[in-house]
Amino acid sequence: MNNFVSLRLTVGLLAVVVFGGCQKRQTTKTEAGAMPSTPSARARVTKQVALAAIGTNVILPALSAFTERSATLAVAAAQFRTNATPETLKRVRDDWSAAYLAWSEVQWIPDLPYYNLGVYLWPPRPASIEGALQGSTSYDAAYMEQLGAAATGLFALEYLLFDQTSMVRHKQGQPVLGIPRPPPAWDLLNGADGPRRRAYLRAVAELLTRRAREVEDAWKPSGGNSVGKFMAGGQDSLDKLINRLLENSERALQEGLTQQIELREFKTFQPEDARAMSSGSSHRAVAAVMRGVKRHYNGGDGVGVNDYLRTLDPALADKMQAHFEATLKAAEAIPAAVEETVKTNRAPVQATIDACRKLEIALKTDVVSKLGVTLTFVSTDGD
Amino acid sequence: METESLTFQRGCARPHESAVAVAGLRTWASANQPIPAASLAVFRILFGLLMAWAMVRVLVKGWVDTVFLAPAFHFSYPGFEWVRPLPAGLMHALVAGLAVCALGVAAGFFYRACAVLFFLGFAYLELIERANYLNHYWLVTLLAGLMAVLPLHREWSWDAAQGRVSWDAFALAWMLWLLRFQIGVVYVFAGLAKLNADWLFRAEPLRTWLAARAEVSLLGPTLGEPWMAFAMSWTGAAYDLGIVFALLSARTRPLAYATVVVFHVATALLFPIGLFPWLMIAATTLCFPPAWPKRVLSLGSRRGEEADSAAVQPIPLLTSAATPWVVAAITLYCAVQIALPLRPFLASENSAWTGQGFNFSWRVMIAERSGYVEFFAFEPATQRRWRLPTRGVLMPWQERLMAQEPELIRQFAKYLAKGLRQAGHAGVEVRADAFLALNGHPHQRLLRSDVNLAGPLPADWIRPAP
Repeated sequence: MNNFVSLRLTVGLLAVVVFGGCQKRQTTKTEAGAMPSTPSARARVTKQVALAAIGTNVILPALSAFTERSATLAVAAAQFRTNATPETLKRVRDDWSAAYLAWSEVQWIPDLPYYNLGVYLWPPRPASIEGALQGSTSYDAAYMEQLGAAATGLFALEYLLFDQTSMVRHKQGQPVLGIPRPPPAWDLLNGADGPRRRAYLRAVAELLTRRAREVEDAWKPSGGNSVGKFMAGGQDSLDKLINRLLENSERALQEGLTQQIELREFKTFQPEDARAMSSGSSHRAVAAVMRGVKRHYNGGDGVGVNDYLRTLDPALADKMQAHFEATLKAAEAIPAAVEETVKTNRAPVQATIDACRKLEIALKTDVVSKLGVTLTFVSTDGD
Repeated sequence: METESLTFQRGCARPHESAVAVAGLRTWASANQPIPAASLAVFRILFGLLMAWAMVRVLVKGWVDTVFLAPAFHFSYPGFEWVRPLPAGLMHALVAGLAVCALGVAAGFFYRACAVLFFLGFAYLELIERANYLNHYWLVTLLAGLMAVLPLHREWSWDAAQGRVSWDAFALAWMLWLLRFQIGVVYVFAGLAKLNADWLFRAEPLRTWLAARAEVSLLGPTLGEPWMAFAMSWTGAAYDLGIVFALLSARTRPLAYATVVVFHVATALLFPIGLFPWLMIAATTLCFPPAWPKRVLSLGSRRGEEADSAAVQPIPLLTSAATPWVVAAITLYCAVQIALPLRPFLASENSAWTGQGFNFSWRVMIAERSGYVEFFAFEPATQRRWRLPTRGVLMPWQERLMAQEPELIRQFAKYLAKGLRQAGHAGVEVRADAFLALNGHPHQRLLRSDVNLAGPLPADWIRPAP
């Protein structure tokens, strides 16, 4: 290579770097505080704007909703403790379902320490719960804090609130006959040990509320301000969000839907394979999960990842929107608990699986690629 | 030790010998010229220090666990399926030991032993997990291998200071040129690989990667501009193709090296590519005149140049008996290093899509691949098809890398088939639904979904690139 060409290359590169660095910031960025609403404004959405909108319009309200639902559940559990009637039990059950669905929409938040949170451990351990019900130890905050996740959290509450009669071992896809069935929840909650059982129910609900509040405080700008870090995190936050969406949507697809069909087909189903089986709410949870994915991706009613994607590839953004709509519509059309529906009518579950799968493929390939979510560089370096 | 000098070799060239032989002998003669060993010593020191840092980094970041110990299944290279990780304690000790060996290389402390052990240990680490392949790991392996056979410890080394090897301020020219050749191959083939439609006319994958870094201070917003991606794509290709030649020319060298530093520091800031930029900043010093460190140390005095001009002394490094073997080994090495990266140019399909010939070819940062793969068991007799889970066997990072490369998918399919056979499903096939998005193109099916990946493969088992 002659010197002239070499010099030109060098100068060219340096010029690009220096000139580029001196460029004024383009006016394409919309300030985080003012969410664009017009189509033209939406078309100029930057990554920072999308993340700010997701933080403000989705993450904080979702955490707040979960705290609120948990607190409502705790109040209902407290009322049920002193006034145990079928009506107050129904109310606690309804409030539990609301809290569970609220959680299903929260779990998409990046860096949410939900394994440590102790609210979502599945399956709960009846032996641990029944162990905590023995004796006469007071269920004060100190005692509850030292209990493990297997005896607390949402699914421990479900265990206490809902009939466990169907939660027995299966053989060849059918419940094994002859195994003693646990009494209905009402009998337990209203029996000889009822007061202690109800006291424990209330204590677990209050613990759940405390945990929910701790997480919310950690994310609030006035608290730990995790939301601020998320909104300012740029590509790192986007990476975490998309990875979280992928990881959890895959789990929901596989465990919540595909596995339910396969387990029936192979007649290997066991009750611990169906999350929230005793409350019969798995279909509502699947729909809530998909709503959560869509809200976190779209930024709720504001600006989200898809608006940022639209600035890079409008056609792909439209395609993704259609995928989300189709998936949510399919999930909401599952008429009853997934594990029950697949026994007699696989079509709506299979339709949801198909829609979810298309969504997951597009997320894992096209969206990841277009947004530069560098899964290529995961774990170690890249080149 | 009998020595062979330039004069001796020239004396062997008789008039009746062919012009090719004479040219060959002349080439070898000039390659056998003694040169100051200072630049080689500096490279040895920098390489050793970098590798020590790299090994410490592997330990600190926990990669011994996540890359080598945690996976229940490791992807392997053909012929090296037997390579398995050591127990946890030994793996950690090995990496720590490699850091010590690298420091030994830098110091020239028992250099031969340290260089050989570092090469073997590093190569072993790379052979354990194929999905962990990176171009710069391959470069480190090659450089470590060369250093294990080249005597780079005769200058500025503990061994020389202690008299373990005879101190000698000279090396043979071919030793320097062999290392220069290796660095040149990396750059030139990296540049040639960039001469493709995605890189030149769509500025991909740089466009995507730069846009993803739009929040970087100062440069950030500009990085997201399409013109910037095009400028950097074209400049990058030109840089790779020409930088070695610019470094070898005295006139352009200062500016060229400044460009090397700017270019690699920029890539280090923008992309998580580990030690690669620093390795190249160190390695390109080999393109300087061999006496440059002495010139720098003498702060502009004439001593360095004197060292250059004194480079006419024969040195006892090579016997005449060894010469043909050395020439053959160098020729073979160079041929392999050119042949390997030529493979993608001879393939009918894009190697970034098929993965065939992509590795070991210096196709650096030219592909953004995002894949999806799901395995199914298929029983031909009953037409029954069921999903085969991968979680729990593969680490998430392995899954993601596997989804980008057909050969890795095939390897895992074979593993699944083995498991099925052991579970009594003898006649069951393993098929996969695999999709890949390459460089921002919409995803396409990567593999035929009706092929048993655990059995003999048809020629078209990989679908054509979009």
